[in-house]
Amino acid sequence: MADKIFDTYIAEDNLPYEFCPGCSHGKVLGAISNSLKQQGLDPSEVVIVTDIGCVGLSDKYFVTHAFHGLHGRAITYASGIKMQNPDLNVIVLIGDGGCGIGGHHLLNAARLNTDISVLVFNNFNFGMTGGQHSVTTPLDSITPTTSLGSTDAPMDIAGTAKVNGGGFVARATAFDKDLPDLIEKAMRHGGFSLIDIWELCTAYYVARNDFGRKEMLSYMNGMEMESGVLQKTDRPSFQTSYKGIQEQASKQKPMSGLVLETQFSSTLDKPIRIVLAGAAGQKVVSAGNLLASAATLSGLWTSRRADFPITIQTGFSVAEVVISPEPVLYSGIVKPDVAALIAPEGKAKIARLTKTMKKSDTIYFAEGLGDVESSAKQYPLEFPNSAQKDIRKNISALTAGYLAKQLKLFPFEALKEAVRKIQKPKIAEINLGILTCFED
Amino acid sequence: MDNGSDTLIISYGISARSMEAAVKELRSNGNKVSALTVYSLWPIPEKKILSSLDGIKRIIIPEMNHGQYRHEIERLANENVNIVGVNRVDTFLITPEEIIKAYHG
Repeated sequence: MADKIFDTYIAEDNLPYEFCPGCSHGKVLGAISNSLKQQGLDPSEVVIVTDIGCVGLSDKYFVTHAFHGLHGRAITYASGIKMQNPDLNVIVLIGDGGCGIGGHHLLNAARLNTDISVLVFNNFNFGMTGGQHSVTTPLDSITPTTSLGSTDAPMDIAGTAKVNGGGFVARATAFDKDLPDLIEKAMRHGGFSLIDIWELCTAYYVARNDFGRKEMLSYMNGMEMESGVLQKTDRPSFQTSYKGIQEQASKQKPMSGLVLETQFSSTLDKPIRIVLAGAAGQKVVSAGNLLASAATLSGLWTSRRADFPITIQTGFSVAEVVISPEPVLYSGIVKPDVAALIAPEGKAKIARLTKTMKKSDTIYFAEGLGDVESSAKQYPLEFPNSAQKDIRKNISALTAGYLAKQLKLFPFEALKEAVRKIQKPKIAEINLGILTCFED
Repeated sequence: MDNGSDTLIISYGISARSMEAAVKELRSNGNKVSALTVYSLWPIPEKKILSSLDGIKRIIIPEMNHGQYRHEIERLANENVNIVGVNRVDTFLITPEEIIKAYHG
């Protein structure tokens, strides 16, 4: 509250207003000043954030704080100011033009119920630039950009704020005597508040469309856009909700990352690049993770990349794993040392890679996927007899086990430890069961 | 930096890892080469970049685009410096070999 009484919140040194004769903007600024006066607020507790357009000339007429930025973005600045200092009363002065340009900011501020007051100076056109049509321009209106009449459905700004959950929504005109009271109600509301204030742009819209005060009121009735308070909810403001969830979160234990300490050793002396190529649903990526984690547990350096279509559970699934005694700088694979093909989709996907493989490289393939166009040695994936029952559902985990046995990059126990460390208990139990076939 | 090198490689992001791999390989084969990883692309660390250009006759800039950062370096470097881009826009990482190839020109 103000320590002293202010008769006005208008910076009188800057008067008179530079608005056009008959423009409604001055009336609304007077109503804002009167509203601040009846609330007894100290100017230092108030921030007026102005958008672009004639309404953007307004901030210099107030003795409060002010902020002026890009067109359509005033609501975002105001939201940020309020988040940083919730004790401030933050008011946005924006036109119908800004509400069009920054329409989604308006929607989201209403949805968030962020505790700011948006006063829309809605005069149905872009006045400052010569009266071009805006999102609220009435149908059939003549403007420089709709010279044969506007064909666009006018946007109902108050209605939009209302259906998007704005806490306090009202519609008014610049001529309303009770505008200061309505502004006070909006500002006192703990949440998003918006007043869609209908106005006259005497320079352009009024002159071209025979649209005076009387016509505006009759348009309001005709559109069934009644004035007054349209919505008032008890929904907590974004600032209140946010504080609540922050306090809740601070009581919880911080998340701790998974640390894979070296438990095993390896004799690997040069990097090995492995590609597992299968289909969605085969858990190929998980198998890649197991190999990489087992290597990490064995004191090696690894990178693991996965490739799959944007849509999941369909198409190929490829895991690329680089395992190295040295840090892995380049994590790509131009030519794999080892490739395992476990589904036709994966085989096709990595055909460009298997083609580059040399005699010294090895391709392992599941049943029916042999005859790869490549110079690499090619062997079928021969799982132990006891594993036959698991091939259909768990071929990736089996392939990880098979590669661990064949390539001897790290102790087999490291793979089992990786399963225990990185997989959920239920999955780990299944996979440890599957891996026993290699130990018979 | 490598004293006596007249070639500087400048990179950032994931391509800088390929640059590191290329530099390691080049140096192990006795080639002189300096490298600079830019961690903050914007604002452009002009002073740091300029101070790395002493005695540099050639700059190699690997980046996964059409050479957007190369333009910024061209703006800073002396016009006698030969600036070479290594660029890929096919979603695949730039390989260390591509950078080594650019080094050997």
